[in-house]
Amino acid sequence: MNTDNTTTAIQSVDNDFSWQRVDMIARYYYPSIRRQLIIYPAISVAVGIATFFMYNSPLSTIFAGILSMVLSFMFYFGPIVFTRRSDRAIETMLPATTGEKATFLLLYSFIVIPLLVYLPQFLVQRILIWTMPSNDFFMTINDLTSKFIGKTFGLSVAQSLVPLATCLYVVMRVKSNRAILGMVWAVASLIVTGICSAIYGVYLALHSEAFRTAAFESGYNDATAGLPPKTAQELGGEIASSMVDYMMPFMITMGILSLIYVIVMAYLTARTIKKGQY
Amino acid sequence: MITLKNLSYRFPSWGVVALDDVTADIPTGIHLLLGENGAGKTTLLHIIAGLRTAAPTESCTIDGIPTALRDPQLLADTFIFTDEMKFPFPTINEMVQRHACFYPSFDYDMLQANLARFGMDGSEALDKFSLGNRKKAQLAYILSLRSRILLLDEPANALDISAKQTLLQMLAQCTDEGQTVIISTHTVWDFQNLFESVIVLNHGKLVLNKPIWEITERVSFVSDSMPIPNAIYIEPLLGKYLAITPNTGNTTDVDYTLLYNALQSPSRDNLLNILNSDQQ
Repeated sequence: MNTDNTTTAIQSVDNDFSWQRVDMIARYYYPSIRRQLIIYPAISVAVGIATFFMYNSPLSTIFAGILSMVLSFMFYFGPIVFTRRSDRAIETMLPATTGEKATFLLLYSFIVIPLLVYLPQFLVQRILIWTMPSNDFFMTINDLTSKFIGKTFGLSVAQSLVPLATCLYVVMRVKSNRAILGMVWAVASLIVTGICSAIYGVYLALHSEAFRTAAFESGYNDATAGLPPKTAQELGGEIASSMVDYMMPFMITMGILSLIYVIVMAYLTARTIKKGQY
Repeated sequence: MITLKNLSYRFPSWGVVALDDVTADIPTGIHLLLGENGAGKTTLLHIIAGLRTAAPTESCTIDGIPTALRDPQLLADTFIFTDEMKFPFPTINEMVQRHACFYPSFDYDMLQANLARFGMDGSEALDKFSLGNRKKAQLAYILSLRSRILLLDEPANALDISAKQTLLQMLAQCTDEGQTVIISTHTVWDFQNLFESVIVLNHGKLVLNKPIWEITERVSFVSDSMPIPNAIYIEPLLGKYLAITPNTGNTTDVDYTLLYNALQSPSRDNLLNILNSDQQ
């Protein structure tokens, strides 16, 4: 190839999987993802710092929830970055295998985006916890989250991938209004999983005596044993922990179903790359 | 060689049949693709480029390989330029950096020469261009990819007169005998004398696929102030009569507009009989 001003130019083309081509695909998409690589970690660090210090304030619940939502939606809508400055014809005709195109898109969506969104927050909070005393309630929530993930063998994480996988598939599947439809369907999938969780929660509340009396039992057992009453935070943590146990069967089931859904969406995304009609 | 064998395509969402049992071999050379609006020209180009999949998938092949497979080897040899194509990068130089690297046959020197013809150097922001100037830059880039199969859908739209002439020169100079170029255009007069064959679609069906030399060997395209008696097809135009007549030894250039009109008229069958006959 007679060329100048090119990088990693390919000398010949074959139909075998090539990591060099995956790298070229990454460089092809780099201008689209460049801003995300900077903005996402910056917001994640800011949220991590704000959330850490906010747990000491009276409005901690509201603001922490809002900030957590910001990160969540950044995560879910991450794949819309592929709609920026794109032409479906040029993307479809890009001389690379389906495997190579799908490898880049799936690796970026399921590994890079989560790392961009949550790793900076995690790291900055760990540094803050280590360097300065932290609010007990903040620690309780962190421990609860870790316990949750551990008890569900990580399947609870799969549920959070459902909107992301949905957004990616829609973005690759539709021809117009790709970003909007990607976000709409991601939210729709989120609503569906939320409704399932809500239905199970209501079921538990209506049919599980033990679930309803968990708080009363904790205080009653302490009182009959002559123990001093727990603080609101201690009691809240204990209740939350026991709720985790009651929700466990449902969360594991939802986790498995979510994992299956994510795998199916990843397959459909690859299939769209292979067979999608322009 | 592009081979179309009983190729049919129905739009899945509308159920409209865009192409119906099209069979043709398209060898190397520059070919004109004609047809009325909705005839299936763009759909055909999309199928050859691998953007759409006809049924069965083997109904469109390039050197025996179905285009529907989207093999990288085939994709590196094929490029379609559509009327509304939007380059994903702001400048041609960035296209070279991030897109041209996928195409081993890309010729940077040819790109520079092509851009220079239009007074550009590749660093200009494409979205600051008018539609016509953007198209010039895009065409300069696409021709320098040197794809073995080049599909151009209305390439001359929005180009000024001098740009059309420059494009014509570029097509003549930048394409070699190993390439297959198919140009779909309504403004055929912009590319007069460029084509080696003409393909005509009508309501999704292939009506004509003939080399120019065969057409001019069998018919003549004439004009006169009086009606021509033995014309296969005749139409009045601005005080003259344009006609297609059997060739009686006087080879003329093809009037593509007249040919196209004749193939839409009741004289079509008569004209096709003459064009497809083994002997004149």
